[in-house]
Amino acid sequence: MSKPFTRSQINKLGERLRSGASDDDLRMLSEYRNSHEVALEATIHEVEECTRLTPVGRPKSNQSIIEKLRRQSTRLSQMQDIAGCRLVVEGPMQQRQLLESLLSRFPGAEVHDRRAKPSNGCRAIHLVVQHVDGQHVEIQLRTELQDLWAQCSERLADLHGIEVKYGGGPPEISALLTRLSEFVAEIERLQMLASPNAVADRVREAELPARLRCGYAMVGESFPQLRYLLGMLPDLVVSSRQAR
Amino acid sequence: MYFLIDYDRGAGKLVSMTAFEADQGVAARAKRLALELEYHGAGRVREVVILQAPSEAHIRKTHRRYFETLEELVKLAG
Repeated sequence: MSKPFTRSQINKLGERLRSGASDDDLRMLSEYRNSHEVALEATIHEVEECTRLTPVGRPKSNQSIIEKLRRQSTRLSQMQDIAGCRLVVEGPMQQRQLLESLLSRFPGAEVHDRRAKPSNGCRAIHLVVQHVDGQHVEIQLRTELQDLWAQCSERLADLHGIEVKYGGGPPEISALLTRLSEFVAEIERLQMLASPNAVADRVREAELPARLRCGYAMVGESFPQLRYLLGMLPDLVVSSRQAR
Repeated sequence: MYFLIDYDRGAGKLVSMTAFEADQGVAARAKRLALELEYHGAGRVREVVILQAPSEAHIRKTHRRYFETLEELVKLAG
């Protein structure tokens, strides 16, 4: 599908959407979003080919695009996540391997590593690849724990407003999400330390078994604390609603 | 396949999910636009999204929030 509009037309549409939206604006936005379909299909195919994993494709909803325009000063033509896909893998080692595979396939990809520097608590790796037609596609790589955090955050945003996703909303919920995010990072840091390859990089072979046992024990000790924090979420939602 | 999701964020509920075959992308996108215009005209805020995957099991793994409550997400984590 060819690009149906000029960059200037797209940016003017974005400006109109910031303050309101007519039916014609929504139709134009839909057509612009549809113009990313070829790039999305091609990216999904390439990801499947190089990783043997199946990503789930997700063109951004009109609602999400409009909310993002109203939240940020980004121009519509510069939004890089209108088309995207997501992969969820077991843990941080698999995530790292996946990143390496994808970078060998898409060497020019822009990498947004949100593991060490999370975006409002959200930890993941995002790659932005540019298709030959110029359209961008975002590839999201999450571990199961990173994904669990993100799904809980989305659910809480449903209940308490979209601002929860961006560090706002009831302070007690925001604080707990921050704490959970830090726990996810700590557990994954320990998982990386405990993984045979990572340990082998750092210690002599003779020390390996003891270091591995130690690393796994530390990971095991962290999980009950994560479960405890997660278990607080539903009660917190009820009390927060009663307080409003 | 394409899965057209109509999700009510305020209620935290999946209103409907319609599956389209892999060669029905155009129909899925047309239906999505029709829903978006309908909700816009009625002044209702809904999340209308298309997920593309070989099966429903795939989207239930990567987009759990449409299918599971907070309690279910947390319970499964334990």
